[in-house]
Amino acid sequence: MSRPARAALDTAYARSPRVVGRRIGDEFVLVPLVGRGADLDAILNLTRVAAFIWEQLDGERAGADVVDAVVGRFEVPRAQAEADYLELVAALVELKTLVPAPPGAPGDR
Amino acid sequence: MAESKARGLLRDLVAVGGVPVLLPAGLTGPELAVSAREQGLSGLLLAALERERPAWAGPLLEGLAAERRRLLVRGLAQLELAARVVAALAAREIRALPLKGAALSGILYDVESDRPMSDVDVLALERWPEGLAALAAAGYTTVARADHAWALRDPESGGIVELHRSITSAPGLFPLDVDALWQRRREGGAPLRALPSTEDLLLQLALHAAFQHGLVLSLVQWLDFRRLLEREPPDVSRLLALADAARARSPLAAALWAAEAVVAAPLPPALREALDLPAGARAWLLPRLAGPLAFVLPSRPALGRLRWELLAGRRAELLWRTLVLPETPAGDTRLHERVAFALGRGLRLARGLADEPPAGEVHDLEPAPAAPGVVAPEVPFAEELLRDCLASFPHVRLTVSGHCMEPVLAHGERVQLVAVARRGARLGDVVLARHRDGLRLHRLVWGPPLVSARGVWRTRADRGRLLDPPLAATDVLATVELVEGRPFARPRRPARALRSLAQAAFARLRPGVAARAAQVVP
Repeated sequence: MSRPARAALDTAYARSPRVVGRRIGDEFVLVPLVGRGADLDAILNLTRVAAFIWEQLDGERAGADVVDAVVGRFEVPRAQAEADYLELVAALVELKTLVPAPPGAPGDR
Repeated sequence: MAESKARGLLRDLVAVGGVPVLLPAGLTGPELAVSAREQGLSGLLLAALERERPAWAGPLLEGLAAERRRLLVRGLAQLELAARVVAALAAREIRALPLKGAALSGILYDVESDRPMSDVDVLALERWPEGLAALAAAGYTTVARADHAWALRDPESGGIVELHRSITSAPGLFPLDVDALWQRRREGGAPLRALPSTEDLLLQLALHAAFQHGLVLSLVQWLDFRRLLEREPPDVSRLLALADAARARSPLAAALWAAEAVVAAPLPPALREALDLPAGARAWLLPRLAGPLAFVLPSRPALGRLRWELLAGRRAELLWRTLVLPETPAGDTRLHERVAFALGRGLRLARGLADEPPAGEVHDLEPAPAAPGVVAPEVPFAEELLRDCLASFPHVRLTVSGHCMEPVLAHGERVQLVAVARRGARLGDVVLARHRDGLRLHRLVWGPPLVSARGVWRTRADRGRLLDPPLAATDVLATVELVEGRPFARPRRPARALRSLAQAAFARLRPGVAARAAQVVP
């Protein structure tokens, strides 16, 4: 495992207060709150696994713990769960919807 | 007729739950979806369809899902706006609480898209003028003024926030102990951290429904009552004490009885036993409870009558507080100036003349110009906002776009509209009506008194060759009362309407002749 991947698994990430996650029907969406409020075009749809991971990102649990939870919930090989986690976290960090570990992330309903 | 069936089905969805296996004859799925949107129930309808999967639901699912996303994004933005306004006021040490939908969305609905709002309401508990000034300094622009609230446009999102100094118009009629209200506040979720107590929320909803809207609301607004009683049951003793302190027992009773009739709101027995109405209000209300759709938009409220009946024993005060505004349109708060203005206003009303809309009461939506002949707010959100403004404010200002009503209305002129709920449309009026291709200001050439509200109405542009497609009364939102800058202009012209109707009929019968006639029209 590469050093950045190891670091990501050791890090606790928190949801940005400028992003709201909502489960609506069968979908789980992330809505970035931007300058003019919220942007319909910027909505992200999460898969079931991604939505589960998003809900675990509470700013306290390290990445490895989240991967454990994914393995327990979806019965996938750990290597696959780690890869999914790292890919998702990298994408969400890139989109500024995740930040490393500050407290006060909004709860999702 | 389809619209009425759709409302009935949606009411059943809210009151009883579930959707039918088959749609009623004469009602299509798209018509139901439109009605759900108008009633604020798109999200709940979609949830029911996803759950029960009736055969007719398939074509609707995609559109409703898109609508739900749109409403989610808008709702989140609106709550952010309310939170920013509360924070801006708090920075000036002005206490403020969200009202109505902004306060209820987070506690009664699973997701923001289930509780659409056309705007957000915030109550300033003190120093309201200073609060307005603070928002103005932050870039908010005033788009409407009423005696109980001003509507402001957010410079960032373009959303509208109504900053209240009173729950209803005629401030002071239902006195508010703001310190006690603040003391009773409850914790909210992000982004609104403080909300009125359950009992305050219920009383505010009742006042809003009964006094402000004549007991005619959208279904989702009625659903607020049901959800509040189900999910946040009030302390009955405290609620009644608050109602007594606010002198609002009658509006509370009327609204709760109507909510029970419309959406089966579960009234606690102790509350039911304590509710009562003055004899006149009871005689007016009770027979109507048998037809609950009369309390659902777009039914027309008997606003004046209901206020009169609910305020039995306080009618002089009602008149005083209705006419004598907290300040004149020029901003003069001296009593003698306010009384002088009230006398003039009362005199105009008594003479049956159009009440000259004081500048302070005009709601200027400043819509962006649209295609020729189309009044600008062509998007559904604008129509929702427009409907809400028409319901909440005495006059709404719109800019005319296009030349089809010249010379009566010129392109770029501003007109002042009054909701049909406040003044019914009559033959010859220039009306704002919803057509298939958007909102249009055209002349009503076939309507009351020649045909009833249940019949088919027709409109036509003064410079148009043919009649517009048939309309239902519910498609007509407002009438033009005044052309700004031309106080003596008469938008209403019954004779012209009849002539226009005859010309259009002739054109239809004799297309060749009409075509030649059309060529001479510049």
